[in-house]
Amino acid sequence: MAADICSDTPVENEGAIAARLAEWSSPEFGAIYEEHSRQIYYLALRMLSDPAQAEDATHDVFLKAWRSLRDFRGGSALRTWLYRIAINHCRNLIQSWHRRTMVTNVDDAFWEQSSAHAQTPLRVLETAELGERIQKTLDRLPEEYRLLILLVADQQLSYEEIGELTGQTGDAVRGKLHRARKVFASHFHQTE
Amino acid sequence: MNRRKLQHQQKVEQTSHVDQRRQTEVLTTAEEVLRADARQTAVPPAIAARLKDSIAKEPRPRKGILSRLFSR
Repeated sequence: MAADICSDTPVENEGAIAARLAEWSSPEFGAIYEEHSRQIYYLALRMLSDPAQAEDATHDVFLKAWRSLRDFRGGSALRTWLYRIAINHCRNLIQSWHRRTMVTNVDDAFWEQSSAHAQTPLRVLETAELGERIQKTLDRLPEEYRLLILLVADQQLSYEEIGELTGQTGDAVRGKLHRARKVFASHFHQTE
Repeated sequence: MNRRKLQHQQKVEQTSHVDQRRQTEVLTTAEEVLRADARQTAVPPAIAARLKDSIAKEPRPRKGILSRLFSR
């Protein structure tokens, strides 16, 4: 499997965090937090569009995981299991807030307009504005596309695992991902 | 244009091109953009501290019969 999405990044305090976790709970849970917290936080951040809410959600997801870790049977990979908790948690929050305007239908005219942009590379200035542009883009995507792209960005997840998390086959994921990329690219160019 | 001036202009253009490449990362797919974003997004350290407090307040798991017998 390919490398973790953040594995080449120096992570501030991550070792210290893991050490602290190991002091007050099992060393295994500290290791789990160390390995998966960045992906869970990033998913929550981009699903909820709010750093404070993402912080709360990440805390809640790992607390839920801690409570039910002994019930985890290993039927799926641990990361997939954590993602499932995180996705359900974020969806519940989004539903209860009613604070988003979801794009539910993308008509043919839009596809025609978007095809030109979708073929060009996405040029990204390496600045702090990247996160803002990505958030604006993701906020305009249908929830299904947003989630697919976020999950595919994690190179540790296979298409089959993503299908398991989103209730469809791996082949369906591949098909929808193609369209999701096009819509993302089109909206992303509009944020320039 | 004399030769010296032309060389100077070419040098300026080359430098400008290199600067542009440094500033701009070309990514081909949405997930590559997200990976670049994820790389520069750190987990707030406060989460671990809060989690520690929350777990400390959780009820301890009950011991099994055997472990209770042997702990006497």
